[in-house]
Amino acid sequence: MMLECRQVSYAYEPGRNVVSGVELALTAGDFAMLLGPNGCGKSTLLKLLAGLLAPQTGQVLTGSRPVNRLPHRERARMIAVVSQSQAPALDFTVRDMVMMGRHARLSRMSPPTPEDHRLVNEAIGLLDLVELSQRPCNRLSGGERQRVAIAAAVAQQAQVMLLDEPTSALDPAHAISVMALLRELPKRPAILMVCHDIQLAARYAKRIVLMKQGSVYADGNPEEVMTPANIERVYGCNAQILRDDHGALCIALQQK
Amino acid sequence: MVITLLRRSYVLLPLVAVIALALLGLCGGSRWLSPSEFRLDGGLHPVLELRLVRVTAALVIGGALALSGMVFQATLRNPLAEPFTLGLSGGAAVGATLAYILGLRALSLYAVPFAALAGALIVLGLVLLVSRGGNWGVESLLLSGVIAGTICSSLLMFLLSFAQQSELAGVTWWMLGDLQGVDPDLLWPVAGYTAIALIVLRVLAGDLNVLSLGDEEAFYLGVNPRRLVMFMILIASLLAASTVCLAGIISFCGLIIPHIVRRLYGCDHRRILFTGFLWGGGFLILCDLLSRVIFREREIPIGVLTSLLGGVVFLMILKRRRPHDA
Repeated sequence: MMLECRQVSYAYEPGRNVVSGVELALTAGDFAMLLGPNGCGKSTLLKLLAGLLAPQTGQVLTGSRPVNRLPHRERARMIAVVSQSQAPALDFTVRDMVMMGRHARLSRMSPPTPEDHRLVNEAIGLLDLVELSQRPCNRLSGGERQRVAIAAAVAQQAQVMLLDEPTSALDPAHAISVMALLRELPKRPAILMVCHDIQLAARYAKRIVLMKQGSVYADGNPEEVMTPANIERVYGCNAQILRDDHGALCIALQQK
Repeated sequence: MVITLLRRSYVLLPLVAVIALALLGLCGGSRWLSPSEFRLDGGLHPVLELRLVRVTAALVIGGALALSGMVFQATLRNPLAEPFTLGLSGGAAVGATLAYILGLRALSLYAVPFAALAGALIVLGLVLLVSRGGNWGVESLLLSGVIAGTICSSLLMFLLSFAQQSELAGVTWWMLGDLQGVDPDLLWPVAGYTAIALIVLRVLAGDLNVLSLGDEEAFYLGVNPRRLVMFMILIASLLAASTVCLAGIISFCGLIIPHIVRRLYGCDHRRILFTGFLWGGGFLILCDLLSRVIFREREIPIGVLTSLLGGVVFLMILKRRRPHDA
């Protein structure tokens, strides 16, 4: 068990729970998609899991320790987060940005080790950024910057990766290559990813967590979770579940 | 070729340049002093003694301002932030002037720097509070900073008009920035503090990189943003306030130097902090030398030179900014 929510609730204003009573456990090798309509608490749940927000009731635990009480560096060595970030204000190069993923593991007194450089180069290669590596990051497109953020998280070598819509600005080819890449990461981290593309989720996820109004509505493998009944109740639209030639799930949505 | 060489040797070359400039600064001036004349009757030449103070002051002040600018630009995520544009130098000048007028200088050597720091922090606090709605974006922060700076200069003129008869008479250098009035007793403590700040910042340079990505990102990468931003701002404010105590408001040095340095060597603060310090020091030694030799019989206050140069660079940066920075 790498990260575990026990009856976690959170409200930005008293009385209005954005996340309520969530039970969720992430284990090594998980490749889970967090799905649900706008405002159902996905991003908030991610921030709770990341330790940025402290749950008002319940606990987010790693081992037996609450994640929001961990020392900052220790937490960052364990959990990598890809958030929906702005362009950096200074002209850091792509390589600088990916190296910052290693921040919690770098010594303050000595320069990055050959191992750090190797992992950074590897992450840059995996995300198809080699040609951009010396370019200033804030001059890249939104999709390119998303790949930089993912590369930084990969270089971070954490046991848990939390990603908030990391593929929202990616072209389809890069989106599926990122999904395939994350799914097959050699160290098998536990991955939880907020996603709005239910096609992509159904196809690549090993596990889908479907949220509705702050609670987990369904949690399981894509075949179990992505049923017309569940989709209708959570998103309020009709769905037809199809299979393509390779047997992968395809979901066709229709307005009610 | 030249650029590649410059980039490769990001400590040695600036260090050599600073030493050469310092030597030039000691020799040059209203009267040329060759190194063979440095010793006089077993002691130092009196002119050399004066110049030694000025060159050291220029090195310390230029370096401190460059460091301070780099820290503000990273922590506030605003490439145009620096002590002068944030109004902080103005606040420091008001604090220092008040301390002089109230006679606190006589009580303790450190009364003036601390009054300057207090003034700087009050103004900076107000500026950050007012521009918070704009998320400390380029425009809102600059606007509040410049207005705060203007209010401070009116306050300063008001205070100075009261102090006609006292020791402050004619000390318009608070506002212009001038190395002629450097207090040698204060120079050494300030130099010491600047050296300590340089070491501390160098140790925290990686954290400074991460902080410049924003609070949430910094948190995820293993940094406590609140505490560290406060600490960084305090270090940078004290650097800026102590330069004001020594030489008044020297504008834009904290803006031009970090920009040149980042353009040449990249943004990684682990690489550029020490280099930025050297560039800042070298730049001010050069400006000081120019201010002494442009007109033989009259010195130009150094702040006049830096604001002329800096103002132009500032406008260039403002114009070249990409649309998404707004």
